[in-house]
Amino acid sequence: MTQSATLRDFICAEFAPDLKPGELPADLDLIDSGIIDSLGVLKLVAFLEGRFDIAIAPEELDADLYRTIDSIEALIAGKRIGSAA
Amino acid sequence: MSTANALTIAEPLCRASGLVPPTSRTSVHCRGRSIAYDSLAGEAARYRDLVNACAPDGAAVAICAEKTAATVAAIAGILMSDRPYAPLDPAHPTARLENLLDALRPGALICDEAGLRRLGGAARRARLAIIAIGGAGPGYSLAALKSARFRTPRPLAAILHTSGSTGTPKQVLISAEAIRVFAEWVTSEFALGPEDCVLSHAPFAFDLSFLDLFASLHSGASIALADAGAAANGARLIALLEEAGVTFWHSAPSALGLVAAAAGDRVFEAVRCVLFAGEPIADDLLQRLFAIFPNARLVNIYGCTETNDTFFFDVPRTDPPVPLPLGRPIDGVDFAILGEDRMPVPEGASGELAVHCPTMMERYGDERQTRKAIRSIGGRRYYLTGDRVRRDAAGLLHFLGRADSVVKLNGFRLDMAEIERVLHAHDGVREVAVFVTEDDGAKTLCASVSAPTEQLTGIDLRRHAMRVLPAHAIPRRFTFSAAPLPKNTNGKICRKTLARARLQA
Repeated sequence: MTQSATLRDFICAEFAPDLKPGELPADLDLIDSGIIDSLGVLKLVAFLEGRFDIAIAPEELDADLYRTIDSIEALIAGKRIGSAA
Repeated sequence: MSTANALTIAEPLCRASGLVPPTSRTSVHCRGRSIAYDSLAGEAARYRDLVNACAPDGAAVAICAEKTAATVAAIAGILMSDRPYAPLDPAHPTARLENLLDALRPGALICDEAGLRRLGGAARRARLAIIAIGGAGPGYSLAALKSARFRTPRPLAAILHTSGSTGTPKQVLISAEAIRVFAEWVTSEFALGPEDCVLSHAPFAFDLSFLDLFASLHSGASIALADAGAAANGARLIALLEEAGVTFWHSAPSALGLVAAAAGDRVFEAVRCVLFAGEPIADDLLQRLFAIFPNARLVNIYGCTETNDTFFFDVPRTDPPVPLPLGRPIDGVDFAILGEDRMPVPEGASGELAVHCPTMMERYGDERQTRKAIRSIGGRRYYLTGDRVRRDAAGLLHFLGRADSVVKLNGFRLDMAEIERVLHAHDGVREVAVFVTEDDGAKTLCASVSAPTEQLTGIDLRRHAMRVLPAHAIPRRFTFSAAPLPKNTNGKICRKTLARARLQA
């Protein structure tokens, strides 16, 4: 499963079980649309750390970084480049 | 036992049956036939005599029959015999009806063929006198019990059953005096009179039928009976409305929804009062009603089985408030708004509505239930409605939801009724119910939505709700269907059924 599909599956299963992972627009604002709230951001961060083996610093617990699937993927990609260097 | 109160209710019938010259004016219109007051009174007197012959003094008489003029006559006859009537809806499951009959221990059972199919077996096992309606049954039996089983301290007129959120129905014992006061209020507030024809939409087992039956009989208005088939069919309701010349509509909002959907361009100019009760009315439906009933006074009525109607609000045709307030108390109604400590809340704060009124029930059949529901404040009996309300600066009461519609989820207090109101305001939503499912201790906030088009998605509704509600109040799971949401027999959306279906899915 691709990283994007894994992420979508998690978001739908955890926060919005009535939505189909494939139908979730990559640029949908997950926070403005009520899918993820502040508690949800913490759950999402825990999932990202465990599933993608990345570390998220306390200052990165800013909800704005997790607004869309695109922005979450960008965050993961940034982490991976950072750890490879 | 005093007979004065019971006679007051049946007085128009008594008058028509001989004390005053008989009248040939229509009393009941049903299935395309009209029955005049004098023949209704004659029929009622026949049932009175049968009941007197079969049932012990003061014993309740159960009646399980479809909505026909004969059933109206039988109810009037029971009242003329100075006994309370206990209506049982033949549309309900046999097992439920048998349980109700068993708990009632009535002095006799009046039933038609539909009622006999449901309760004939149980009645024979209990050696209960059966009085047949319409002559199609086995005839009446005088052989059964003669011993008094059921004595009441005050003249009772009716025993209704509430569905109850616990699932166990409660017997609600209502005095003749309570019904008389109510019938008088309706007659004077709405100037109900012999020229009027009142639509009876609710089943006789439902408290809404008190207005249809007793205010009509009290004022000399005629009654147009919508039987179970017509009650659920917009086209048939419209046919009845036109055929019987209905001037006074009274029902739950859902029935008006059926009429609005089937009316097309038609308007009903003869209707001068439209009363709706039982649940909040949708704003778009209200707008339709203004168009369909151009000459009608539209009134939002609030009440419950235990108190009958207690608040009402005349809906202005221009800029009606959304949602509609419950309005002002009816004459004689006193109320208190209680906080979680069961003490009156400060002015303007929300709390549970407690009502003291002359139309209140005597008690429940079960004394323990009565003690839980009735609270004495300053020496007066107040019924705890279980509804959360707020009183505004103008003195109008606003409904906020059931006291038990507030849940705690993840540490947040959520009002499911408020979430429903917000979701319902979306154009694509026809009906919505918000509820909490609990699976292995994990609570999930769910919304079931009935939407006429398939385009509406969970994303649309979440975004819509987020404009007004905090994120923690957004349901986690939305379910959509084109079909209407499941209703109980009173026409209210059944959240328990939805929650069960959700867990089994």
